[in-house]
Amino acid sequence: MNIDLFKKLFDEGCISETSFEKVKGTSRATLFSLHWEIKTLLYLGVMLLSSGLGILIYKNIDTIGHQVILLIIAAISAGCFFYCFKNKKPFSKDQVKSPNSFFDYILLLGCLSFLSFVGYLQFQYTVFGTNYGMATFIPMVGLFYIAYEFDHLGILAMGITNMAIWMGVSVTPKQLLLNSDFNSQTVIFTYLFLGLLLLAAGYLTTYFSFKKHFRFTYQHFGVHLSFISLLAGYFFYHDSGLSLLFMVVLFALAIYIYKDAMKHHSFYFLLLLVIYTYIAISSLVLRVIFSIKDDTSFTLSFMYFIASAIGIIFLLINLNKKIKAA
Amino acid sequence: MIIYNNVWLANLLVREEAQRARKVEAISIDEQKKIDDMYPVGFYTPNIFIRIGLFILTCIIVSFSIGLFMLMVSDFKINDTWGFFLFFGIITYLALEAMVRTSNHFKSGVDDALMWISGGLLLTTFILLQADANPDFPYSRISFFVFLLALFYALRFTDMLMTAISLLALIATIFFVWKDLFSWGMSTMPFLIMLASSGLYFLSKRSVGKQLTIYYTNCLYVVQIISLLVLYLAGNYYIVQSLSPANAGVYNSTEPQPVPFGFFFWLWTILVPFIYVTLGIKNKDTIILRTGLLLIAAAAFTFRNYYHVMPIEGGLSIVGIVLLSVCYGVIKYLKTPKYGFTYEDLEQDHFMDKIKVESLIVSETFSGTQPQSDSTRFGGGDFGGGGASGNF
Repeated sequence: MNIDLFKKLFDEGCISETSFEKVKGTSRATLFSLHWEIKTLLYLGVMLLSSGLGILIYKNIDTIGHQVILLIIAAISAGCFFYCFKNKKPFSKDQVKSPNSFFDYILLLGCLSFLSFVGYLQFQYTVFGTNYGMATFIPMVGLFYIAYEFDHLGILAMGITNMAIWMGVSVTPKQLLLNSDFNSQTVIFTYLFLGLLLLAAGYLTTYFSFKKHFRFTYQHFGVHLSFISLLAGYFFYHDSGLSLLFMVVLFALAIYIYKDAMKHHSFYFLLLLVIYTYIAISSLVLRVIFSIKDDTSFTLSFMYFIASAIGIIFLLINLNKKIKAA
Repeated sequence: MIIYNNVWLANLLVREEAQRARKVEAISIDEQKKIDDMYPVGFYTPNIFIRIGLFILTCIIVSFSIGLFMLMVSDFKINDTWGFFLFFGIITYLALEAMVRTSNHFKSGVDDALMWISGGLLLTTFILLQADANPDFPYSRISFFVFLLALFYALRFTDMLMTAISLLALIATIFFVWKDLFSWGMSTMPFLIMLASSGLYFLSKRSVGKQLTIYYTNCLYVVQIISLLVLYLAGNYYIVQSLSPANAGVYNSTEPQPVPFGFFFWLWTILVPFIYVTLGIKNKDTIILRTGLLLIAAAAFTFRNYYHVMPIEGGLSIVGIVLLSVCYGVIKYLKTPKYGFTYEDLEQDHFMDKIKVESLIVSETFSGTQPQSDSTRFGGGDFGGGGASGNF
């Protein structure tokens, strides 16, 4: 730390003498933290190991005995969980800080190999028969249990993803945008149901103060899913009256998220809310403009975008101020 | 040269220092508040989410404004002349200056967007002008223009990305000029680039903390990172081989010619990352340490490209196990801080933690491809998801 600066601050009377002494003390004994380096390496290690094992199994599925492979995966998974149960802190309804990052990533490795284990079991021996729902339901329950037991956000997110797979859809934002097709009624309603369910889960965690810090993860997936499926529903039923119903639900949801974001001072959800609502309003406005069927509708739509974007900028700046003051 | 209010910039530095002292609990919240009152900063700098929002919206406004203008003048056929781009380049630049001067925007998203748009438009103007005069003009002119333009933006707006662009453009300019200047230009290229980038590294390393560059500290860090990367890549065997004169014009050949001094370049490829890491740990320099860690991966990939020691899955598993055990060892070793190193996270309220970025990355890379048909409807987030998407 800059001692001269703090000397000046001390002379100006901004900081007390004890604070100045403390500053001098800390600057003499600065520690160099390797925290992020190690975290990244752990992440890479788990990722490489689990993909390496995955490819190994995939390639040798016909050569080495199935039992051997199953045994290896089970051993890895069991070893990881054994380590985690041995080193875990007692369960609590509030946030439990994990012992260290190594613990987190070993837990992750355990879960990944557990999923491989179940998947392999199903593929080779069809333990769950043709009841594919069960084959995804059991890992899901397992993941949720582990997430709560060990207080691990990454595994909670994996559990949510697995829940979506169980319902037959995908949830991570990248995959939502890349390879979902919204051209079927069932997909839209499944997404909508899942999204609202996750939002409800997020609400309930705070309501019962049970693992309150999980709220963000639930809400993150819930907000994206619900808004995207509502918009998709609007476009799917574009020509029928049902489309307006989707819009009404969307605006109602927007109001709820707005209140919630204000309460929890969350800029992230505020931004998401503004973006999704802006898309919704714009599609409504454009629909009206293009229903005129005139040459001016192009010019009008351009002007609409310029004016509305300026408006949104002021809105964002104001909301930002408001959320800071709140 | 800097467009911003210098007093405010200086006050911002004081505030940052106070924030750091507050984090290690050397000063109290009241004292920090007092310091903030004494050193006012009038910049408009919203948080990252609002910044992203403002960036997107500014892009929408500018593109639709230009689109509207094009619609109105579409009968005059001026839309693809250089004057058209110059006109809008100047207008957006003036808007940028006005936003910063009157509304005190400072890294707010609005200024970022205007900076990139005006820069892009001015660059397009330059390229169109060159192409009009002579269809096959040398690349070095473009890269030199990019260098000057980005340098101007970097100096005037203390922008980190613009610094990066200008540095890369400078290296590119050296590359193109040297290549055309001598017949033996390409053979000596690695050494010239090494010289240039190491010079830039030491220059920027020296300049950190000086009175003259006090507001450019972050930009200088960017210069350090990029020059370290370029310094390594200049001697990387794969890159040297692809660019060597013996392989000129031969793309994707199965048997590329070996390069002269191959031994030296192999040593460079393998050893330099470890030298970086060692230097980083010895000098407690985060930048060179992290760059070194990144480059170890690059070295491994280069090596694998030439020598197939073992199949990829075995390699992945072994490297994964090694990484995990190394981390385990380091965490155990640093349980109590030793030699000034600690494993503990010193900056608890890092913004990455706030949005729980780690959990999102985990879910994104490990969620795997989605089964759509019933026959493959099992497992889900199991193997290979991360490896296949190439996200790491």
